Amino acid sequence: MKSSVLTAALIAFNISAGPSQADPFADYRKPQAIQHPNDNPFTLARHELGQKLFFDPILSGDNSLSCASCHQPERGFEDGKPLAQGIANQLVKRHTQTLFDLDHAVLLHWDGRAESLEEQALLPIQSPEEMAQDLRELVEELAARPDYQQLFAKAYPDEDLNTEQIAQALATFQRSFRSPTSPFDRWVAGDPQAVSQEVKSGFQLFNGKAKCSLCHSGWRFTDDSFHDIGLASKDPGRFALLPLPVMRHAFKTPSLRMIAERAPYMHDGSLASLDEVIAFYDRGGDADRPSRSPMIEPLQLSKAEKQALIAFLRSLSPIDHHWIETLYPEPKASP
Amino acid sequence: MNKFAAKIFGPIMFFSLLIPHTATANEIVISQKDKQFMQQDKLIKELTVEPGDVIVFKNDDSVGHNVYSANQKMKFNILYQKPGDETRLSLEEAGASGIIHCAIHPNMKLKVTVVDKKVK
Repeated sequence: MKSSVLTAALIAFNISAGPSQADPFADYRKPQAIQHPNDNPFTLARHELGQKLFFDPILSGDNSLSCASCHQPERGFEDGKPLAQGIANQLVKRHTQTLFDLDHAVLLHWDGRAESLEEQALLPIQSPEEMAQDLRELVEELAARPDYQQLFAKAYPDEDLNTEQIAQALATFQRSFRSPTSPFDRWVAGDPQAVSQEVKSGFQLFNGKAKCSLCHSGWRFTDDSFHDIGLASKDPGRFALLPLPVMRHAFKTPSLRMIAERAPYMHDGSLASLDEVIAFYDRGGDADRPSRSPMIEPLQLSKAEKQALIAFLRSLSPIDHHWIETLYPEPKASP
Repeated sequence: MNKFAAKIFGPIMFFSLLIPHTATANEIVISQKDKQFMQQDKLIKELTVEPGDVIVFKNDDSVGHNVYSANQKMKFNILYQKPGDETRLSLEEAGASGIIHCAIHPNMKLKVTVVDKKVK
């Protein structure tokens, strides 16, 4: 009964694109099962190998950084810095991205340069400004370690250790990062008490007046689209790979899962807080240029509406942090 | 400019954007709806046309789209389409085939093949 009242209330406002108009919550309910590709099927041995590699600084050239140095689970797989920091404190040109729900992602990186997690996994390892690792050296280092010999032999029996296995194992592990259950998830699953009235109002605005869900749609809160949203940054973004006028300064729409823990925001980390993000969209962006998406325009949000949107965004954070403990290869191990 | 850039900005040989509309041509309406390519309200992944057929790309969505193809034998960019916009495209070369994408929404893909049915 209660859920039908909720459904009726939601039909009254404009839920963004999606075929399931009869149940406006349907697109917001996440699947629990992880999708794995046919050319890299799940095995526990690959998962465990990827898990150890993910937290091991052996992956970087000077053995100082692991994947988890920047992709910190407790910060929603980000690092709290405007720009990522590579080895020897080098600044990377873009902000660290979250790793939630990537089994469903289409194109990876802010500019979409990687078509799969397998392709993505080796890019930061080799990038001179990030982990600066020579892959041949990495293979030699791993092959010399008895613990890794065992893990690779279990995951890839009768094969010599190689870079493709490293990529596959890391991809398998990262694919397992389903976003943890949040109050919002409990609400869409049918518990009307799971969130406050302010959160519900914020969700209405998110799907309606504030137009967020035109791009941040569905349970992943992204449609994998690329847009110039009018940040002052001169970074060419996706245009460097796909040189069409509409792709100038365009970046991938990020997930909003655990967004409250992922400050600062945007590809350049230029907005320090959710207040700044909402204010940015409310004023219709900063850079006025031909490539800026026509969907970015002033929203005329009241102070209460901005607060409701932020309350809604905060409802996308996990109920507790038990999920983090399951990520680490050994109990109480630190990244 | 990288290789991909050269491809897209290379000579546009095998298509024409038709403005205004040619009354005699066979028209195939491809709608962009729910961030997918649709034909008569059904999801479409592959389309076969004859040389000279006109594909009408219609934006029936609440968001903007930008349909393009970077394939060697089928290069075009119909630019940004606001909700409600229509753009007509004619593919002339029999045998040409390629994947048409939306630059903004990379999940949108439609394989188009031009087949001359008169040639056996």
